[in-house]
Amino acid sequence: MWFWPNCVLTDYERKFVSLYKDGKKPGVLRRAYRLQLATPAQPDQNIPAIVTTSKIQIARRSRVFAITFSGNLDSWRLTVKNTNGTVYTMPTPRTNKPPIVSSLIAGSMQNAAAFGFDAYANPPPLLNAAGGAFIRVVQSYGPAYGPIDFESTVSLVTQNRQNFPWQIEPNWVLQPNESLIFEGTDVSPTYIDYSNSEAGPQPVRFPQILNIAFYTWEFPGMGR
Amino acid sequence: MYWPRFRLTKAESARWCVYNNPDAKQKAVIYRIYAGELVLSTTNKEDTENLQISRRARVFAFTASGDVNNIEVQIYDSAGEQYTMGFVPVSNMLLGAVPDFRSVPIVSPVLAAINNAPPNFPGGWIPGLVTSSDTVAPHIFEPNIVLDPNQTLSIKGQCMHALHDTFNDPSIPAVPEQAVLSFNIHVWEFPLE
Repeated sequence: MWFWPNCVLTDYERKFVSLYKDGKKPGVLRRAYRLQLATPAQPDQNIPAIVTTSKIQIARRSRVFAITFSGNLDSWRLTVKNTNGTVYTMPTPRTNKPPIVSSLIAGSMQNAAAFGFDAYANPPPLLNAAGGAFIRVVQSYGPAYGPIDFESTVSLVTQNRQNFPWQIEPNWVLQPNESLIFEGTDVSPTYIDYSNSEAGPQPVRFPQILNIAFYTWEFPGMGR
Repeated sequence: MYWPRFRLTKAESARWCVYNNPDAKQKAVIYRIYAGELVLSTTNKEDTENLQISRRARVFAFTASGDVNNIEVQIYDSAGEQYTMGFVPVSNMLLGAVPDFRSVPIVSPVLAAINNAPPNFPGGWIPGLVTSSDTVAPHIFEPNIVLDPNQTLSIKGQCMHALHDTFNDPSIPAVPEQAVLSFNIHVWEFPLE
């Protein structure tokens, strides 16, 4: 297959299961699990980066063979590890930062770390200078690109897409009752909100959501 | 497949297996991702990320996001082997729409409406607007790049055009332009014992 892998059993696994249930052995179960990492809208007053964690425990021995994402792929750094302590996504050696989700998969070059302005130090006056319908679009970029992510009509720039599932090959093997842990850090940039004329420009952060689905082959009745 | 299936060589099969088997002595190989980030600015025109892996490893894929249309990379290891001869634009490696924005004029009415937009305004830090850059597929190394234990793989990046301050209106504070590439190398690691 092009996008999705075939399930090929090892000799050892064939002792316990078969691909499809027969009279002697149970069949392999293909399952999808879904998690969500989300941060709320908030004023960005020196708030440290938000780290959220979500994990799923699977009772059977299983093999994780693919992961897919939707949402703000450009705004989340992601660490994937298991409860045994194996870290699958190693951080950058110099700055110890986990990878940005959009850099893990093919299809999106958007990346919150690559937007050039320092929004805090340099709120760009050009946002006010632009008029009419352009404001929303212009505010969708640089430090103020947050709104694009939930402004469904601005499809021009929402290139948070993925072309392929992230294939895990060889699969990550989870022992019975082991958990797969997804730890995300919201690194979305600050948006300068000009809408409050009394308070003046306010730095805020917009909500960021990352939907994660991972796909497993589960082996009923198989221990380690 | 767009993503390679892992296969052991005959020599590797003696010590490692694809999946762990309690009945056998071989150790299972681990699939892992190592992240790196190149940050280029008006003052830092070249940046290198050195990735060292303690186990023997085979590097089979490279993925990235960020200013893919504005950064070119050179890949080499600590033994001196060069995997790219000179610098190769990341856009070339990851396919997709591949504008080199030195050749892209300002054509967008949105950008034209912005006062004092510098000539290079569409590039790099406004992904997707004018240039519609994207990435389509991972870059696959086949055969893989083999790293001995503790050998370092270096990814050196430089900008494809000169970065400079972004406003030419003196009443607006100049902002140093930045180009960032977040990348990952995907490896198969061979544990000892």
